[in-house]
Amino acid sequence: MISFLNKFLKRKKKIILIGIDGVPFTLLKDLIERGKLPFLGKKFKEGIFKEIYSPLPEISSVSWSTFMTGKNPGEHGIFGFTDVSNGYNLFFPNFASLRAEPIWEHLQEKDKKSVIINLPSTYPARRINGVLISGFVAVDLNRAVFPQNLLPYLNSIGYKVDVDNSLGKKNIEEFLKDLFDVLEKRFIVAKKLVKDINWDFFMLTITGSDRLHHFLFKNFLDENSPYHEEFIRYYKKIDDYISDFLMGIKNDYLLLMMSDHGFTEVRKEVFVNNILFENGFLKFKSHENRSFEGIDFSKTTAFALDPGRIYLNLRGRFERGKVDGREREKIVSDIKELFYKLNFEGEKIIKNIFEKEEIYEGSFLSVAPDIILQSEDGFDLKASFREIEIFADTHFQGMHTRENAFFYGDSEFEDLLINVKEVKDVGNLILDYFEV
Amino acid sequence: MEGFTLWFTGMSGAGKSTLARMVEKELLERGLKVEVLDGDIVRTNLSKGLGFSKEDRDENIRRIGFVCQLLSRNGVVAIAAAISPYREIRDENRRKIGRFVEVYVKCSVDKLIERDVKGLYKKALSGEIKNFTGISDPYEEPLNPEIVVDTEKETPEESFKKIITTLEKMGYIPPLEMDDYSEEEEEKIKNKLESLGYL
Ligand SMILES: Nc1ncnc2c1ncn2[C@@H]1O[C@H](COP(=O)(O)OP(=O)(O)OP(=O)(O)O)[C@@H](O)[C@H]1O
Ligand SMILES: [Mg+2]
Repeated sequence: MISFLNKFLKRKKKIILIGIDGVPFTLLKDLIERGKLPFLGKKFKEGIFKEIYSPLPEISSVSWSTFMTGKNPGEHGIFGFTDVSNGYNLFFPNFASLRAEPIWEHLQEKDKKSVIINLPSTYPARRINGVLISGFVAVDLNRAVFPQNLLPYLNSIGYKVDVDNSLGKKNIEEFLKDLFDVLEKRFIVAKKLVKDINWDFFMLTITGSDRLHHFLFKNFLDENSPYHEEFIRYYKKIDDYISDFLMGIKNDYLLLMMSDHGFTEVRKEVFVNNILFENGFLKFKSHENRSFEGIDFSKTTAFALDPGRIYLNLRGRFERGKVDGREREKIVSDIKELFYKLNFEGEKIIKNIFEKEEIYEGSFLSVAPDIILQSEDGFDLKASFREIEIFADTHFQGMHTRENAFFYGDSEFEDLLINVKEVKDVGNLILDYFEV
Repeated sequence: MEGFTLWFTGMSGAGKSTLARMVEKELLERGLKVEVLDGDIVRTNLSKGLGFSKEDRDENIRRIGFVCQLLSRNGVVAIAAAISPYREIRDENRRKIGRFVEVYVKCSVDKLIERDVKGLYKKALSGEIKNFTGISDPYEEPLNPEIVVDTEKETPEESFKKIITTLEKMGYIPPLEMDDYSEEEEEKIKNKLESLGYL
């Protein structure tokens, strides 16, 4: 079927994918309708522009890992920015923990070259046929780049993996300056590599959008807010840069664009471990030390990791596992009941509760969280211990959503594009397109 | 490294011995101490003389469990590959051993009859062998095993990979390419995640 298309449509051979982290479909649609994004507005008329949804939990590391492997978390093994060993050590899964092959490693078997710029969860960088510049959570640029001979160039232009997010709380003006600066550098590098490298698959990810949303999403919604104009200007810049970037490239590629999850306004943070504690599922060794390390695992039935991943303290899965396989069903149903009943001044907090078997499959099912909570818009789930109440106000203005991510693809291959319903499908679309 | 017990359970011909040997080889190559207790071999020494009644089967599994316990607490990875059809005795071993990973080697009876690696199913079906698990004797599936391999659908290589990666992920064996962060790097990651509200 695909080679048929290939012959008869004289198919373009390459793919450019622009990822924009955390951009809601409805936000782009709105900005386009208001005439704020002239280039994308025109472009999106030429193809399929639609809403897709992300895997759960709806955070970047999980979603981009799902995209880049075309597999679900049960198969690729990334369930969050944090994970827990059987001895209750928290660790930070990274690219080395990814247990399925990323797209470009399939492509290189067919001698196809890839350039990957700023894709989250690809740190530390490893060998690639082409170029890989890792994205969030890269700690050291020296280990975020393959091949290494690109380093002097990146350093010379002041390329940075991420904006300084600590500014988001301290100094919004500086934060915005950093945001625009990082965006500019990102495109400078993209423009260079798109010319220097003879690529087949080229991917650039913009992550500043996600940061902008975390700290300033309410400024988008409220036109009278102090940073409304700056918010819109950031998107105008993205529009300009993409236009300028694509202008210089011979049109022999399929253009795709996507985000990894949606975004919405946050109203309250909801502290999942505090709920488990207050209902007797989680115990601390002492009340002075309410932290993950302070959990008394010999007495704890369930605990949570960010955002709403609940782990039963199962025998076999954990060193001091307390829950027997036979008790599992009962505890799961108790926890589900507890969270479904949870409300804030009468308003429901939890939209969906999934047991791992319902949303994951693969070798890593046994180490997946047992229960995954999906909250209603506005209620941001947290596993942190920094608050002792269940609900708290926050300086953050935005939170992720599973629904309302976006996808765009040039229309020539409608048959392929029409099947894209979720983030995972985009990875598989690329593999199909290159017939690997 | 701390030892643990990797316990394969499943019907005859499901693939316990095959997978136990593959895992043994891999762990030895990674420099770990490994011992395999295969049902077939155990029955010729440790459990010599025991038959296939429920009592004898339980006694056999209890003995294997005991040896696994001794090995595990001395830093050895003990791998048991025995049908172990009864849940209660497997769970008893689990309780005693603590660091215990149960692998359910799953395969339908129809498929096992077709495979009939040792020609035993033919004999069981004709009545020549009595008390044969899956034919004329019960097999109780694990309720919550750490790992399930479906050998009807997976190749041995796939099942093997699944076991190894899960052991890595659960922290029982060190992952091969896991990029361990230094304390300083870990601190940086924490700060980055914290500033976005993830910790
Ligand atoms: N995914 C798989 N894993 C393991 N073995 C498989 C798989 N798929 C097919 N097989 C085949 O199934 C057979 C399993 O035989 P094996 O001797 O390992 O079974 P067993 O469970 O040890 O049986 P017994 O209890 O009688 O000792 C082998 O021939 C093996 O090649
Ligand atoms: Mg055997």
